[in-house]
Amino acid sequence: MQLVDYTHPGKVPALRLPVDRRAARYYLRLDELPYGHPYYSREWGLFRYPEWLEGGSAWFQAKEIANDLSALAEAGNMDELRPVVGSADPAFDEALAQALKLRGFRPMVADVLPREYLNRSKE
Amino acid sequence: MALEQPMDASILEEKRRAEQRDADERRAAEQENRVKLRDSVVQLREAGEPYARAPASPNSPSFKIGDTPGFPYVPDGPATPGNGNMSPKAFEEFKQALIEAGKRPDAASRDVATQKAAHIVAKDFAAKHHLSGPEGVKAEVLHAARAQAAFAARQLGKEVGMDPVSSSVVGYSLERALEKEGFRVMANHAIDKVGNYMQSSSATAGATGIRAEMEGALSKSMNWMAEHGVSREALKTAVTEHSGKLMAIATLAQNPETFHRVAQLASKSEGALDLLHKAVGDKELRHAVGTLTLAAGEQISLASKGVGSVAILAGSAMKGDSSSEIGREAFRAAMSVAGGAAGAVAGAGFLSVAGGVVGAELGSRLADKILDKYDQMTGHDASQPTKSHVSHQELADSAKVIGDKVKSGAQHAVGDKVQSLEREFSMGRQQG
Repeated sequence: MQLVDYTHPGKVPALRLPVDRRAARYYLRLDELPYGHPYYSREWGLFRYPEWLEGGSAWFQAKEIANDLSALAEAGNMDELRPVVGSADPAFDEALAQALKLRGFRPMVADVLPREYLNRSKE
Repeated sequence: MALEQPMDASILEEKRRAEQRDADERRAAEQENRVKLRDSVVQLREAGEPYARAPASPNSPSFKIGDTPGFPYVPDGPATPGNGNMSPKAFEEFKQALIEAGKRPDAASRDVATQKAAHIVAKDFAAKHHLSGPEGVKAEVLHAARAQAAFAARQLGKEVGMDPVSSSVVGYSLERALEKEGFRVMANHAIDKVGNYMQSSSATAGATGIRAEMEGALSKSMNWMAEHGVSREALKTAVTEHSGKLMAIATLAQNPETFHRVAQLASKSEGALDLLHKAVGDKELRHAVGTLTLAAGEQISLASKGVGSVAILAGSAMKGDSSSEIGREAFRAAMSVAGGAAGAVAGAGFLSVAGGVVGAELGSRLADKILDKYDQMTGHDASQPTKSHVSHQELADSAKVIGDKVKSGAQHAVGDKVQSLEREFSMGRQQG
């Protein structure tokens, strides 16, 4: 089993996993596109360009990650690749993980927690 | 025409300002994000279940796996004797997978093996109902089709030559596996399932106390039992013969592995005390008892306050004299004994007797709570006050006896490990 890091570099601290494929493009939202892009929208930040027309982003981001994973698996013969996803948006990450599950992977989700919260819960 | 007029300078200005505002907002958000990243940690978790596990319904057709004697609910089409609703070929494969699962020594590899068996069932179901889809989507399809499976663990076990206990252990694992495949499951080892509902998730363990969590788990399992037609009588019977003492330890330790282990031990012991002797010396079990120290610790303050508030029947289990209302009392007794033993193991040093008392009280309280909740759910008369069957002196005496027995058992079996065990527990508590 090999964990492959697909978390958002700007939103999740680095996990230092052996295989690092962190890229913001897996989590691109409409409001993160450059201003003036045909799909730029401040209001519809949830969907990624341009596939949102076809039904929502988590599914297509999962497709990108799955493509990347299968390319990885072909390049080096690793036993099982488990993608780690996360962009500090629990609902979205969960949806992405479910989409990856449907594609036959066993994803893990990286939850971002404030340190302060962890310290408090110990008491 | 108005459209062909050049843009007004004020509109251009407005647009430029809006862009500026956007850029500023983004910069500020990025800066904020950087600060947040510095103060945060990452925790990996498994992805959640895609849908909530719904209980099986007796009114919708169930796909029978093998013979299910005494299954009064709607079967999914005509069944062949021996195979249930499965096709003969698939059932043969399924049995092979089950035999494999029975041979596995540990839970992890057993789960893998039963997953294979469940997969065979799912394939057969899909073939029968002409369901198709890519491999990963299969579970979704079964869930959407409200597919339901029913099996009798003992019966299946008998067919492949397993003893009752290991067949119910495999059956338990098979139930999970079938649920993972997307089935709603009706299994006849309903009482086993309680142990699973007692499992705590790491997400809530820190936030809520163990006590609150246990109560939540209890009410959940009560709902489950009521929905699944586990009658009060059935619960009583199960509890009277055997599984009461299993459940007690499993419940307290919140760990299905413990349950399996104790089930195995119980199958080889005559009485409750004999079981406890074995349980104390058992290595796998000791890991699970760690949770108990926490729970017992929570109870200590309560125990020192109220003296006569708790009814303990540890003595009657040892004497075997609980004649009337046997279910309720035997259950409470079993819980008390188990709790007492757990407490004694937890504080296995000179504190063992105190630990025993506290543990016994905890066990008895849990038993009361289970029975009361059950009464509430099923509309029995719950207003009857809980009688104090045994005096505090008697409680202390019996707890001392249990404590001594367990202690000697522990010294035999555990020896010097006790010290390191205690250290382990206290470390676990700090990490908490």
